[in-house]
Amino acid sequence: MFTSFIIAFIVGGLICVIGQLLMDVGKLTPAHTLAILVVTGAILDGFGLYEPLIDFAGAGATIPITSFGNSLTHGALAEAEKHGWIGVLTGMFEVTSSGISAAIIFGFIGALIFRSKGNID
Amino acid sequence: MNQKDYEQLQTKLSPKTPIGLNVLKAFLVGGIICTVGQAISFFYIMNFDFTERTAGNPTVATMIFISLLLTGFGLYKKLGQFAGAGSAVPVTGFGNAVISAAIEHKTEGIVLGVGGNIFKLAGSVILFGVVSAFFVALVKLILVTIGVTHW
Amino acid sequence: MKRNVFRILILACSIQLLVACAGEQKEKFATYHAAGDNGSQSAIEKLLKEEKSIKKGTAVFVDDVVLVGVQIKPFSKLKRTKIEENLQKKFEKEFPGKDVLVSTDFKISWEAQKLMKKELTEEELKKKIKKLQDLAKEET
Repeated sequence: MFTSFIIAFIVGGLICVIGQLLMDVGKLTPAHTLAILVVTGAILDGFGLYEPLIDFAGAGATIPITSFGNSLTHGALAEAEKHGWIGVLTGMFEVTSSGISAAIIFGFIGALIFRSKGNID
Repeated sequence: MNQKDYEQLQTKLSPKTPIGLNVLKAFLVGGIICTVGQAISFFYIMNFDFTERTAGNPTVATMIFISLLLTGFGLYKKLGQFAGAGSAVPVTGFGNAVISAAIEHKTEGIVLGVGGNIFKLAGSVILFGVVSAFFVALVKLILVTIGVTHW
Repeated sequence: MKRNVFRILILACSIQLLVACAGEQKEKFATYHAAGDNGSQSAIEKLLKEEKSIKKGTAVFVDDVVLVGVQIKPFSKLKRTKIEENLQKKFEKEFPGKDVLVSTDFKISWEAQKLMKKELTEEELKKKIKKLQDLAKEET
């Protein structure tokens, strides 16, 4: 079981390294980098490559933002297989909703509880 | 001084980003966050009715809850300054983007401030995620319908 | 008490296959907990031993339901779906007519090992196995 922790560490770290290289060498903003990673996740799932990565690395592949693109695509593909064209639209958020819902809900709760820091960023 | 000369001067004088160090920090922090996620995932698998496949949902929700705490207490910003992509790429970074935007704009009211700005940073992720998933699924559907590939 | 008449418990046949790899794990012999049907046990054991990429296999069977939870070695996990399909076919061939489910999910294997340690009645066992079967089919 402990190998799974090490593999999660390495794979998760590597995906973050790719993001860091995109930001440092590619001179991209974080928003651009994340967008590219999400699209990459979607394309990899189109080729059926991301699910084996999840099998192999566990949280190392489900925690980075690339898994967002993967699960959106996965849901769309699964529904398209069952229901055809309309499935592409209906299936997308079936599997992903946990991340986005949690972010929105906790964002709201955060706005209720925490004080704004008033940063000069 | 014309544009080109100014640009050259600018690149000469601005400090170089230590790429190697940044990459190492991103690797470590990103790896640690994913390892924590793996531990949380195992916790859910062993103590509740989740399989490996379905444990991703509560794991992600828990990670975003953790990022709520870190963002609310101003700690995630410091982590971001240290680790760069190591804190932005994991789903906690997405959570931080949404939550920090919500907290920052609460003074403008819930509807216009929070509601109107909550997706300021995260919107591009959702936009590109959905659009790329759409096109990938569409292309695959077309290929399957033609008969080039199968599901 | 005739075993054939009662057939109370065909609990779990935990087949611990810890194949030595880089000397980190010792080879353990199979531990039996079953009361009945010794033929199936050896068949299952043979099938699982054939598959080189399995780290640990746990099989639970009651009446005509066979639930097999396997844990795959980390680096073979890339081919997890293929291995699972392969094993499913093999087990279905071995036990035609029975409700066979092979799962590579850690949860199923973990729960099957827990079941093995408890002493359950046939009814409870059937319910637990049904629950595990449903769990294995969940998508979200």
